Order: sequence, then structure tokens, then C-alpha cells
Amino acid sequence: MARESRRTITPVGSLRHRMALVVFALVLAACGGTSTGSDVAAPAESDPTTTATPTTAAETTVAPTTETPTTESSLDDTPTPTDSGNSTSASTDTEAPTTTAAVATTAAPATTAAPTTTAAPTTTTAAPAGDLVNLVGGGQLDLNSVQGTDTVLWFWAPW
Amino acid sequence: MAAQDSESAMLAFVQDLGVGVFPNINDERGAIWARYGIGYQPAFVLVRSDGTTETYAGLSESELQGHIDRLF
Repeated sequence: MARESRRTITPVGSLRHRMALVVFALVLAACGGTSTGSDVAAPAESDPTTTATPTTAAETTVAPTTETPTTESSLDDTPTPTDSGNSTSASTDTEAPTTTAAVATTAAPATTAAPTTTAAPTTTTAAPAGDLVNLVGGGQLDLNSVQGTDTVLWFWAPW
Repeated sequence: MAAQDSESAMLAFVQDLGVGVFPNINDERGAIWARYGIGYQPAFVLVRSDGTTETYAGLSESELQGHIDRLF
């Protein structure tokens, strides 16, 4: 029995031993450990490559995240509003002076309008200038008193 | 509308001819004569109520009356 077990054990043990070694190597490789055997070395090398890929993949993913500076894109968006804000404020500034100028212009004519009223009295003063003339033998006559009536003027001289 | 002489001469003229029933203006300086463009005498200017005028020179009494009747 012992022989049989030995016989059977040996080959089985060696097989198990090999299997265990392979598994161990695989585990090691998975954990990033160093290779123990030539068989293990191969997968170990391929593992880093595979790991490297994910790493790179991760890096790539990370990269976009970092570039994510999606913030940059949002920054781009932000500047736009800021620009529009600036432009709006600029336009508001431009509009403001215009309105003020308009008011100023309106104010000026108002003041200028006043003098027109002063012109009226001048006309009124002109009217009273009566045509007073002297009469032969004394007295005076206002020529305006005969205005609007039918009149005969006789021009004569005493000689 | 007397002119071209002194006031005393004008007054004597008015009294002599008996034309003092209407006002006689002493236009000694000839201002009104010039205003109507009169440079001779006797002359007549008929002024209508609307301000339009007609000027005549050397009219007889009947002629003057004819114009007055026509215009007024």
C-alpha cells in the first residue's frame, strides 16, 4: 500500500507540486511579485504588460479627467458670459452717455425758448408810436385816428 | 396839408379862403408830402378805408367831387 501510495503519490505529488507552483506563480504574477520559475516568468512578463495597459488606460482616463479641465471648457463657457457681461456693461455705458446727452440737448432749447417771449414786448412798444402832427392855428392831430376811414388829403401852399 | 411856407402865411391863407372847417396840417418840413410822393400843388390823395390810395393833381371842384362820389 505504501509502495502504491508512494508510486501514486510521487507522480501525483509532482503534478500537484507543479500545479501548486503554477498557481503560486500565477498568484504572484497577479500580485505583481517576481517570477520564481521560467514558466512563471512568462506570464509574469505578460502580466505587467496587461497591467501596464490598464495602467495606461487608467492614465488615459485620468488624463482626460485632468485635462477635464473640462473646467477649461467650462472656463471657455465662463469667459463667454463674462465677455457678454462686459459687452453688456459696455453697451450700457455707451447708452448711458447718449441719454444724458439727449437730456442736455433738451434742456438747452428750453432755456433758449424763454428769450422768444421777450420779443413780444418789442412789437407792443412799436405800436404806440403815434403820428402826431401840428395843425395850422394850433393844436395837434393823431394821424392814426383817421386810420381805417375814407379820407381826402389836400396838399396846398399859401402862395 | 400846408407846406412850403411859414405858419403865419398858412394861417392867413386858411382864414382868407375860409377853409378852416376841416383840420389843416402844418407840414412845414414836408414830411407828409414826401411820404405820399407829392412834389407839386395843389394835389389830392384819396385814402380809402382799406388803406389804398389814388393821387390827383390840379382838380377842379366838380372833378374832385366826382372822384369822391366814385371812390367813397
